[in-house]
Amino acid sequence: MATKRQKPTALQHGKSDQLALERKGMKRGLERPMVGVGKLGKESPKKKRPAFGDITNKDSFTKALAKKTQLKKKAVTTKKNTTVVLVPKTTAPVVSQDGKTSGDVSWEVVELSQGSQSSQGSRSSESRTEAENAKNSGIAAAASSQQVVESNDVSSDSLKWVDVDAEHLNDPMQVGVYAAHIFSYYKERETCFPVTDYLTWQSDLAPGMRAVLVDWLVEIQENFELNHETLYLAVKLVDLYLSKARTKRERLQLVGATALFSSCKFDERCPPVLDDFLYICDDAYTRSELLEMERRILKTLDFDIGIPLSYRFLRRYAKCARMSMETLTLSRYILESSLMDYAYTRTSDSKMAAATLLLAMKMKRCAQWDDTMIHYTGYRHDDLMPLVRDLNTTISAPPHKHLNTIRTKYSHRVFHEVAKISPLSIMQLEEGAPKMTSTPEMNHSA
Amino acid sequence: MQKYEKLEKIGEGTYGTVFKAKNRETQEIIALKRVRLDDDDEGVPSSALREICLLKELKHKNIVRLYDVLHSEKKLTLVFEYCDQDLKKYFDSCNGEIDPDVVKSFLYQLLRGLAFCHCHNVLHRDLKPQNLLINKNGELKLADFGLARAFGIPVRCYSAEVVTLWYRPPDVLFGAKLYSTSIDMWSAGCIFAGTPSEETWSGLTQLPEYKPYPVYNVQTNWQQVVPNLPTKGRDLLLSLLVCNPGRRISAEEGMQHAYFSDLNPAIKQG
Repeated sequence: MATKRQKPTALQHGKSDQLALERKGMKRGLERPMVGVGKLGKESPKKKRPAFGDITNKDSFTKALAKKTQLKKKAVTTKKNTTVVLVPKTTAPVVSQDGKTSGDVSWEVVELSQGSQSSQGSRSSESRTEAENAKNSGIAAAASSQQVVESNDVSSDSLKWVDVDAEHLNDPMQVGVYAAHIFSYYKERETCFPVTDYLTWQSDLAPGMRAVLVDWLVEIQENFELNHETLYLAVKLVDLYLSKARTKRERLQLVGATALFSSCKFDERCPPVLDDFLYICDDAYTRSELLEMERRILKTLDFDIGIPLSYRFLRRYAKCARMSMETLTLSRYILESSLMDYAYTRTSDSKMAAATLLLAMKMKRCAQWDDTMIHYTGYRHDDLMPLVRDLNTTISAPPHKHLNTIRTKYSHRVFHEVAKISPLSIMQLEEGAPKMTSTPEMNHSA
Repeated sequence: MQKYEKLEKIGEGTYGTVFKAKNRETQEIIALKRVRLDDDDEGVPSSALREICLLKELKHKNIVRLYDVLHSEKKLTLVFEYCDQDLKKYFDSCNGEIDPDVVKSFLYQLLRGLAFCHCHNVLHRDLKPQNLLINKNGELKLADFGLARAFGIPVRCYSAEVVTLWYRPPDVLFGAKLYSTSIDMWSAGCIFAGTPSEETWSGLTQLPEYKPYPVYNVQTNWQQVVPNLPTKGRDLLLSLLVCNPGRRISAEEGMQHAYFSDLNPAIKQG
């Protein structure tokens, strides 16, 4: 898969593209200007853009089309090519690293290895994990003196749970001292950001348009090598904004691009510049429109955008479950896929995270939803099952013709090709943790 | 800007000009941080965006309160509670003669404000006396969150270009991009050490810049560096200024330290 992506289809890759990139100041794009154009060559983005324009672009699709075919046919192709060129460039470092993290080229991978080491319980590259018991503060002592704690916290039953932070109290990267507090704070705080059923009154919008928007955001996240937190935050900002402000379909992409613009500023170390955002919208909007939308979104949300995200909950819960990297990645695939579906927007982020992890655990036939998980998530197995069933249906659905970005992304070996793992049949799902059978599960084509 | 009357310019923050001003309706004195926005630039600067978002979340008596945000095409104005001076000015006005009880009280409040940030997933990343405000009731407040950020768990790589040099921990000085709450604890230690005598400390902080592997002969030095600090205080200071970030004490733990056992209970309760 990796090699396919990198296959140089550089035919359309003209010099002007690079100039445009330079002008746009896309530093990252420039680092490897000659890497090929694999993904576009493949088709998806090419189709996607018109598909998107179809629904939301500034003028009606026909108008846009007319505009494109008219005067600047050349310019438009150039742009398209450049957008596409970004794909492999950005994918390349991820591919080449393939799990071996080095420096700051790809946060994705850095993250992954950190996650995985949490399940192994030791950190290889960093010298600071000498098991020091130097600290003997009240907190440390309280937390580490008993590995198994009995408690009545969750739902008044007594749970036997393992303190997963105890082993990390001296590892500053795991923030063991504060992790539990931070996540209980998140869980409390997530209730401050309710997404409403806005499509009931947003008469100009429909679930399909939102799906196209999210698919496009994922594509940009990949192309610009953005953090996943940035993507999840952008989607959340879109939903929160649409919960409050009536929006025309031709402005939906502007809302999406601006939401991403703001979430980049919030989370990225080197956020892409404003011109990049105008450019990815194919110049459908002007600079002042984007700046105005930024003011609107921030005002509507009262600048309160430090929002607990499902993605963060998921990493936490996966750590609590001591899941392997592959299972975590599978959950991330499911969670990211759920972003596309409007139906999930009103479910709390922590619950989405817990349910996707549970589904991934079932698919990988590993571990049970034990007391430790109930303690840390606050959800019981049975609380999660309705959502798990829905999610299983979502990922079992046949691939969409155009909106394939997430599936394609997670079919890559960097992501352990988790998108290729067979979903469970309804029977298997209800069995809990079914045994491995020799017959491949083929019975869920409907 | 009808609502507020500018009185005088107080200074420059990381990204904006700060004015002392008065709320015309309530007569309350407040501080305004003003950022000019140009149509050619990037909209709300990310430092301002982060400061606003984080302060919306962090409501605590040891953290400066953000009352309001005014956002127009041309400028962005943050309305803050007003404090009379910052810790640097306070030091300067004391000529090095600071009441040990005041030192203790300030450090405690600093740790309490930090513990609150860290519990709420925020790194300040620019602690220094200029960014700690003191009001006339002797309350200390963390301010200037322009370099602050929310962190994930486990942490990702963040910028190593943070924290004013003198207050930057050795790991970050050496270019560590993977750091977490311990980054602020070192700065707190520098501020604490700086309280009795900034000059003696400053030579020490510059060491790591020049030598890749500085050899601290800590135990013998501290007596000279902080001669006025009682033993318990020195012990806490040493726990803050531990080079290995994994062993550095946390704000929460610091507050429990024996140094504070005789702290005025009124301050402890706040």
